[in-house]
Order: sequence, then C-alpha cells, then structure tokens
Amino acid sequence: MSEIKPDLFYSEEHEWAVAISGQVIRIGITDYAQHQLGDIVFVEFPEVGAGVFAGESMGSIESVKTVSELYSPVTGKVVSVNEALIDSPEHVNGEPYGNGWLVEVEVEGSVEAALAPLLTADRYRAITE
Amino acid sequence: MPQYDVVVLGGGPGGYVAAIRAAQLGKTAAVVEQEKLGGTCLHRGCIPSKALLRSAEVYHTIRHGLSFGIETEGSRLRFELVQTRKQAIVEQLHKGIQFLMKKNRVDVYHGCGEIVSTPGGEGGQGVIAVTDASGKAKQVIFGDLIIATGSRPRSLPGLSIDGTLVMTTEEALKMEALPASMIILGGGVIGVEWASMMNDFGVEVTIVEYADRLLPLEDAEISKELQRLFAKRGIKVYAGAKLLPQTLEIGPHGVRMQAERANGTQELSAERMLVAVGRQANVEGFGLERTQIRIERGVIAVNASMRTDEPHVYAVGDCIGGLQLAHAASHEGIVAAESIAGRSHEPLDDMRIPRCIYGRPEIASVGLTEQQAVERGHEVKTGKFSFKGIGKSLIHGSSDGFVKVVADARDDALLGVHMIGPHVTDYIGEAELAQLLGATTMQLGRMIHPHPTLSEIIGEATLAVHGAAIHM
Repeated sequence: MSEIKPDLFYSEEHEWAVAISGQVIRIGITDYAQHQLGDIVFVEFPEVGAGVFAGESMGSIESVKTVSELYSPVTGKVVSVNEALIDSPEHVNGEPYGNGWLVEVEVEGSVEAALAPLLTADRYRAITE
Repeated sequence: MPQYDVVVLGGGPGGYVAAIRAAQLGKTAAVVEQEKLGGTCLHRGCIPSKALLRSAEVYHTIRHGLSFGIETEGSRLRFELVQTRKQAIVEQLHKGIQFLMKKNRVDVYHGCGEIVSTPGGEGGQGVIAVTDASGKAKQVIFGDLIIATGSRPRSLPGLSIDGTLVMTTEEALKMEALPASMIILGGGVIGVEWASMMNDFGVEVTIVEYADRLLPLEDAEISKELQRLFAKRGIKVYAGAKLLPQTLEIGPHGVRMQAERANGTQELSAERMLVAVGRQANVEGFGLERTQIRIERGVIAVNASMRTDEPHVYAVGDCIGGLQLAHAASHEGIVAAESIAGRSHEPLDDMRIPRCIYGRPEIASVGLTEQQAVERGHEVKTGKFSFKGIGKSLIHGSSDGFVKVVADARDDALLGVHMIGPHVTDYIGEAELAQLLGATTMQLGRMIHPHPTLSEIIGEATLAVHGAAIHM
C-alpha cells in the first residue's frame, strides 16, 4: 500500500505538488510512482530558468527498469532543482515526499489557481487503487 | 607526358577507391594527392578520432572497473601514449593504402593537381598539372577525370581560429595534452563525438548548438536520449544557443564568450574551444573555372552516374555534398569508375546510406526519421525497445539507449531504424540489409537472433511495431 499525503495535490501522471510560498510550488513523484518505477538511478532535470507547462514533459526519470517522462503538473518557471539527487537519486525511492522532491516552479498567478485543477488526495487515491 | 585512362584528383576514401575500381576494370589509373593517401578520413577524421574515442572508452571502463568487480586503483591516463597509439593505427592503414595502389598498379603523383584542360574543351584533351612540394610541375593526360577533393572544417563568420586555443578537429586531433575544460561549438556528429571523448578523458565539456537539439538531422527521440545521457555524464548542453563571435575573448588562460538563448545570454568560458560547425567542400584552387563544371550551393553538381556537366569529368565524395561520410564517398567512387567503364549500377539513395556516430553510447541509423516518414505521407507506425531489456547489454555493462523502428502501417515497409546504445554501429548493417532486400518489419522481427547478443534488440524493436515484442 503506497502512502498518499492528505495535504498535497496530485496529477494523473503521479506527480505531487505543494505551495511552499505565495508563488512557488514544489513538485515530486508519488510513493505509488516510485514503487512502480523501481530503483531510481538518474533524474534529468529541466534547466533552472526554463519555462515548464502543465501536462508537458519537463525532464525524465530513469529507474533500473525504464526511462519515464517527467510531466509538470503546473505552468511556470523553474526556480530550483533538487541537486542532492544528482549524487543520491535513491532519495526519490526512500522519501518521495521529503528529500526526494524534484523541482520548484514559480507560477505567474496565485499558487491556489495553479493547484486548483489538480487532484485532491482522495481523488488521487481512487485512481491508484 | 604520362597518359592514363582515369586520373583521380584526391586520394581520400572517395578517390583511392575509385582508382582501385577503375584499375580492376582494366583501366590505367593514377591518383594525384597533395598530402597523404587516405585523405581526411585516415589522417584527420574517422580513423584518428575513433582511435582516440576507443582509448577514452577504455579509460572510462577502467575507472569504473569496480562495477565489474575489478579494483583499478592507481590507473592513470597517459595522453601522449594515447596519441602514439592513434598515430600507429593511422600509419599502419596508410601503408596499407600505399600497398593497394602498388598492387593495383595505380600510379600516385604527390603534389597539388590542377585542371589545365578537359576532353570536352578546346583541344579536346584532358590535362592535369601536378606541382610537387619543391614547386616542380608535371603534366599528366587523362581520358576521364574523377574529382575527389574532399572538404575542410568550416568556421563561423567573425570567428578566428588560432589553432591553439580555438581549434578545429585538425588541431584537436594533434593536441599533446588535454585541457581542463573545453567549449564545443556545434552539436552535430563531430561535436557529439568530441564531447563524449573529452568527457571520458576527464575534461569538463560544454556544447553550444544553434538548433534546438543535438544531432538535428537524426530522429528527435535519439537527440533527446543523447541529451539525457550527456546530462547524466555531466556534459553541459546549450541547445538553441547562438554564439556571439564579437564577444569572443582569447586570453592566456583560455577562451570566454557569450551565447544568446531564449531565456537570456549565457556566459561561457573554458581553456579551449573546438569549432565543429560542419565541413566545407573543396571546390577552389584546382582549375574548375577552366571547365563547364557547375557549382551549386558550394558543391560540385553531378548526375546519378557522378558525372559533372563536362563529359569525361566525374566528382565524388565530400566535394559533391550530400552525406559527408567516407563510406558514401567510397561508394560514389565505385559508381564513377563503373560509369567510366560503361557498367550499369543502381543509383545511390541517401536513405540507404547508414549513418554512424561514435560517442559513448554509439548512435547508428538508416532510412527515414519518424518526422520525415510523416512528411512523405507514410502512415507511420513505430516500435521501440530499450537496452534495459537486453541481457547482453547488462553483461556488457551499459544498458542505456534503445532501438526505434519506423514502418509504414499499410504495407509494413521498413522505413527507418534508429539506434542508440552499446556497439550499435556494428549491427546497423542488419537493418540496412533488410531495407536493401525489401524486407518488412515482420520479416526482420522473425529472424532468429542469437542469444545473448546485443543484436537481439533489432528483433524486439521490429516486433514492437506489431505489439509483439517478447521481453517488454
């Protein structure tokens, strides 16, 4: 049974998103996703400063089994990537909601508006069951 | 004056192969070469660069010996010995070509050749003047002429190449020591190979490419995977970046410059810069102006038999443009020699010429990319298989990459095969043969591939077109 945090927002592509300030949203992949992928060996990040678009690829995530696209759940500009994962990609498996976060994106409008189209924890749980 | 049925101007892989084929067909033949037989391919291109790449790969493997269960403490790169090995390979092959010339009774004139007159011009006689290094000139009469003058590295307007800090591959191949860092201008075949090589030798590499992706002529998925793998190795790639030559600063410690990108200007600096923005056909300085030969977009115009607008004058290889590849040039040389001998032959089709790129991992492709296939009106279906599902690639120690097959859904024709992964250049020939024989993807997929081999991936990727890959 994979863990789903009640206070986060989710995408159908198994990313989570949460506001960490009035303009910045932190993004990662869910516990369900990391279980499906298996041991993560490399995360290809978008460049800091690059624009990302909701539902579009912003990088990739490689596990021992496969290389998967990393979709952005929101539209905005990348302001930070989790560089600790360059040396320790296993954090994505160990702490997908903590030290395994991937990217922080600054949105143009309010974070509430950017997160609104995403799934709540309950709705996300429904699609993983 | 010495007289030959066929004189070839330029002794690279287009020229010397044409001369051998002409001699095989009973023609008297000579080659005029101003430097060394073997041309760019042997002395300044394919062979020396692949020799360096092989050393880079071995060094990488040794440094990662522990992943094979081998401790390799104390291993050390001796770049001067890497260069010695490369040079020994070049010299051995150079001797081989000299031997082939003797064996086939092809005379070699060392010097700079220039067309004096052509059989189609006034006087009706073909004459080449050859000036050797000491300035002595000699004239040679030809029945037919094959121009195979090759190409040279191109630069950008406003960018001066000093050969030390700002180099082309010609100088880079002769580097005596490695820099700590290098900017590579151009993310095409040459830039990508050098980036991979330098990175494996421990050099910090930044690639600047004007197009929005590396290898803009290859299938977009290949570019994407390569960029991902380069990012994994710490190679910086700035695609969609325009170099600003006026910002170039060359100082005692290296090179600084700026590149313009969609999201601002990028400052770049490194100890050295390699300019790898393509190659320019050699069409000047050998008397073309005295002929009716047409130059179109900087290259010599020829017909399907490699003949120029002058009767009895042919041209092959990089100087006629197209895919600037040694094996293409050699094949064109054979077509030209056979045309002269009155033999018929299949016309050359760029889509049948395999393209190989020798970084780590290797890239090989033949035929249409997915986008080209769509543009030509095919109903496109693709199949893709990852090296992660191939046992031999795990044994080999590199399971990055994939094979992508492009097919037409209506008749299952094999339109293109695009490979990125371990040793793919060694088995792209299988895909090419299947295309040549007109096999469908299903036929290729049903071929029994020996296990365990890397080539199993071709079977799986072609079966994947039909949703029938087994290990997926």
